[in-house]
Amino acid sequence: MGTEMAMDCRGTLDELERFLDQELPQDKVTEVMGHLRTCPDCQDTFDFHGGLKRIVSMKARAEEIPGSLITKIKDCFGPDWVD
Amino acid sequence: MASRETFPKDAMEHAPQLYAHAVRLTRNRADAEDLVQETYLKAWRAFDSYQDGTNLRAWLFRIMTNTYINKYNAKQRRPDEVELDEVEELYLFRRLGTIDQSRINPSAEDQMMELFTDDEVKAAIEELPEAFRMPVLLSDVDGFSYKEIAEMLDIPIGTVMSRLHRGRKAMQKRLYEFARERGLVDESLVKESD
Repeated sequence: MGTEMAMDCRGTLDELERFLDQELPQDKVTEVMGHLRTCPDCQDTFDFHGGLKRIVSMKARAEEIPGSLITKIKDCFGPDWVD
Repeated sequence: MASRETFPKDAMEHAPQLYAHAVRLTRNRADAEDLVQETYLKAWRAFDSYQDGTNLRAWLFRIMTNTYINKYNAKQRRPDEVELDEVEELYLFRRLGTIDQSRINPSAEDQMMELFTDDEVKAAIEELPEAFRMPVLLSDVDGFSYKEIAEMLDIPIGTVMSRLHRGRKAMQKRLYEFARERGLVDESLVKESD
């Protein structure tokens, strides 16, 4: 038997956001992944939120920058902008 | 020090992302253009204080965040002073079964991609109160770390985490409402309490 207690569902879900935000220390990442391998419910929860994060990022970024703004930004640099 | 010759082009590479961020922040394209332009003017004026090799993108976002907060008098109010309903944990995930039941599978990202439109995701973020909108944008959309966000917003890391947590739940609740408004939710499966 290992010296560390295996993580339960509650403890794993508590780390959901820090895990997906890549803010969890490596030892905790290992513990979370250990639990996910044995728990399809938690794995589903993590998959869903990971996917949602990627989708939110992609869709919220979908803006076409106007050409006129690019020109204005170049103007900010004055003569130091060289095409 | 960074090179005066290469800085303008290096900085320009971040323009599309800064613009998208500015639109979500100001919720208005004309104001967003002004904010981006002001950010670049300030960045160029402060060029001497930019240390080469440090994260240029984070530096530009920091300038934009400060400019926005000052210009729009954005109040970095404490979350308990901000109206945001308490939302149950895993709000959207727990309701997946009520959405277009035969098709949604939690790990099928392409299905989720189709479930919400770009405009719905944008609106769900833009409707968040400022104190929550800024961390959610900086983390979920622009991928900054808790530490970077804490520095940009001048709040403790614990506050970044709690605002992200509450902001994300509110955003997920709004996304569910959008699905419901579009008739994608099987009302017979929705619990009374909703």
